[in-house]
Amino acid sequence: MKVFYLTPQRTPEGTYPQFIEPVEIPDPDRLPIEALRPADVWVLDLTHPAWATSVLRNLRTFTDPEVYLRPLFGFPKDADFPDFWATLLDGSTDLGALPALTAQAEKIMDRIRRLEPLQEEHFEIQVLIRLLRYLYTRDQRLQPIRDPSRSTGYTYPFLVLHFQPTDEHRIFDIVDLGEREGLLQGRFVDRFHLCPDCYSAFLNFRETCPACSSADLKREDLVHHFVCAHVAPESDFLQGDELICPKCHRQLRHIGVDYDRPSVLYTCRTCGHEFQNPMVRARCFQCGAQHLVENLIEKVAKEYDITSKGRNAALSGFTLTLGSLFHIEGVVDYATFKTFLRHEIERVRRSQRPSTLAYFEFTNFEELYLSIGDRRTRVFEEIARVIRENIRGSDVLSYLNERTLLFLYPETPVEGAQVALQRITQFIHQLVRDNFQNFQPLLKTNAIPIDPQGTVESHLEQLFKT
Amino acid sequence: METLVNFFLFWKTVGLDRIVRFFWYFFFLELTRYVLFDFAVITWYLLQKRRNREKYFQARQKLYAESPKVSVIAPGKNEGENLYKLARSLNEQTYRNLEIIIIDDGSDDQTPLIAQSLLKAGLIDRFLRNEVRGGKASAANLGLRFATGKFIVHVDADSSLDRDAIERILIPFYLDPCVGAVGGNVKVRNWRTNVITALQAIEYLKTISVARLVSSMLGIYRVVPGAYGAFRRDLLDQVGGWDIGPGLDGDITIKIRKAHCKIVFEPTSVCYTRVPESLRALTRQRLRWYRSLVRFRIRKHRDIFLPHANFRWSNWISFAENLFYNVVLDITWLVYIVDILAHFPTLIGYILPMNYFLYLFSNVFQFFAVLILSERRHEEWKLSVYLPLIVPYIGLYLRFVRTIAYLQEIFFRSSYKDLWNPRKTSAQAKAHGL
Repeated sequence: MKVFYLTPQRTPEGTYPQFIEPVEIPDPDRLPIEALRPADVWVLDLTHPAWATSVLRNLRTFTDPEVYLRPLFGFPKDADFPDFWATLLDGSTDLGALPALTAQAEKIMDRIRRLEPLQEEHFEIQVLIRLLRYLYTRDQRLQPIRDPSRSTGYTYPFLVLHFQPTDEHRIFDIVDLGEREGLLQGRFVDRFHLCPDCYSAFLNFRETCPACSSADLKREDLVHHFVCAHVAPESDFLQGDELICPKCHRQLRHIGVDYDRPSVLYTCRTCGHEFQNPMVRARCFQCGAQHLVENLIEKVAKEYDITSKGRNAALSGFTLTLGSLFHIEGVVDYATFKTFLRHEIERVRRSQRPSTLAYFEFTNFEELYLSIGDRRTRVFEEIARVIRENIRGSDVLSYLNERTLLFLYPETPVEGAQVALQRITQFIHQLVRDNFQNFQPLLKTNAIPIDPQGTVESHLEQLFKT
Repeated sequence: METLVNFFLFWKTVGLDRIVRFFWYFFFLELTRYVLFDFAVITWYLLQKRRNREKYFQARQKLYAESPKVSVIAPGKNEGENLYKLARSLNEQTYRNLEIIIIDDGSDDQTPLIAQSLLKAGLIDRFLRNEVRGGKASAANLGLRFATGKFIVHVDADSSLDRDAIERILIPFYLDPCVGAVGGNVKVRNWRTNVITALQAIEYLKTISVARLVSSMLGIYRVVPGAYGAFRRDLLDQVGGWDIGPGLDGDITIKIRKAHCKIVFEPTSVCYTRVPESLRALTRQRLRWYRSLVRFRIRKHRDIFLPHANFRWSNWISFAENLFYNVVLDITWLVYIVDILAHFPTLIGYILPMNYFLYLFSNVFQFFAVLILSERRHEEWKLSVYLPLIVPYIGLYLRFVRTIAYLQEIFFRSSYKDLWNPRKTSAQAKAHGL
């Protein structure tokens, strides 16, 4: 096994074990990739942390899987290296102990060789596949890390390297997408909140005045004097150390016997407003904005395991499907749909009752999906709702591919099917127009009557031709 | 048929002197006070109303020119389901400068959530809550502590108001600056539920719409109803707000009377409230009400009867009339029954049915007075089908409950055991003789 030792400055000959070849990289932003390729394993010099983290970043974000997935160990074992970066190494070791890690390195290399070359247009999908490949080659679980130096508080080191500091929150969209597509399986770790303006997790939660939002509050008990039913803030009763009722001038001696404290009262020192239910608001340390807690973005930090579907996606990629986004129940696969269609043609031949075959294509839905960020769940749920509302229990629904839905409407004339399709397209146009000014949805639909003389293939051909 | 003929023949042959002897209780005590007297006073009221139309109009203008803030306080426990109706009716008011405050006295149901949502929706201005129940008086006082209005309108959380109710309850304050509190006209919202609620609806119309109008005209009006009444804020502060109930509405009225202020009834300011729907609940409610008469009028405020610096004849008459027509007549009624049983045991079969007819006649007459005064006579006229039952309801049932309540309170001070108030407050009230 060939091992390269990546170091900022070469040390004298003879200080390395024989099987290690030192490579001097003075500038971490100019990696001599071609010179590094011949090695099976890289070992990174951790004695210069700033240099090492830069090299690590550049290696792990490199486009070529052979580079970003390459086994990479740190040296020395007991180096003082930040946890965040240490998770991007395959381990730290002493140079003499390297041979013990050979098996681990070989396994990674073996898995890298199995990966198929992929061309993915969309950045998010690219990043997701890179993550899946990283997890797959290492049999690793993706763990959220608490990192006070990151604005989101919780982070996933491998993912976050791919984003600019202002976009770091998008790592949660990537893992959400992976989970929704069934590529990752998440397990709850923690719940946390982000500022809706700048996505920072560094929020100061405090009780504030409902009237003026000030946090400068005075909290006081209310006192209820049983004998005369007088209720007022404690300060109304206080005379020196004694509690004297301002209404009946009796002294309050014993809690529970002649008085109690039924609730509390807050007074705002800024505007003088008196109230019982302060509002919890969060002030963002980063941008200074103040928000009610219910308006913050709530996120769940999860640890993720790659699923078998995820391993397949790591090997040969995946495509987003309308089905997995829309969560429509009772969808059949394409082969089953064709069987239904064959039966329907037969039925129409015998019963002479009209039935309709239709399709609906959202040509650029992937673009919409990837561009709308946090609102996507709501948008896609709305679209799914309209589709559900416009199919009956007897209708058959399937997918031809990730962006095309097929409908079979038994005992429905073409006009009826067109009305349903029209409702769906109108709704999507409306929804997109109301929410995303710069996006133009490309929608195609068609409906044809079932021809009792035709075949399954002739129907599908005609459907997409017209 | 023969019995009926006999019955008529009997009364045809009996002379007037004997009739008076048989029905002295009805003729001397009931008919005079509740029929003849009421009609005379109502006539006087209607004439005055006509005469004062211009004054009333000016007072209304004065009210709107000043447009003082009015705080509506609604204390209650577990009243969540009724709050929306109340808030809606308050938001519909013709008088707009309102501050609506809901006070939750330690509810253990969804009430806090409902009230918070009303607050969020802007239907109420303030929601206050005692986490620990302290009784209705403490809840009302908590509301008073936070109210910022010049006038305080106290409503029960299960009530709702006509859209011009607040405007109309405020006008008396501008008609006469000596007015310290105004009682609203409380009517029954759920009268269609069953016979029990329908009978209470008739009773409310008789006792509140008519009897209170009469007592108000005479200057002896006694109770600004807890369900709906308006107060001058400075006066409430002066008397220290509400004291422990039950019967805190009557109690605060007495305190205001003692402060030498006028209390009037405004029949045109209408509030609808829910009344008990079962006999059991109604009995419990009435026992509580009637006990409070003994507790407050005979015990706590007995000084009204005594000559002292604060003595006023109107207060004396108000109390005396109340005690006479409730406590004394209850006893006299027993005397009457014993009198008839002892002297005319063989004529019971004639006297009792005739009594029923006389009372029915008197009730029909009073109901007629109600309809004269009512703003909803087409609706309320429908209640007349229940009139035949009103005689046993008022004459027997209520009289019986009332007698029991008086005896319980006189001999056992039962009002202090009533769980309507938390034990801790009742214990203190009893210890201090309040």
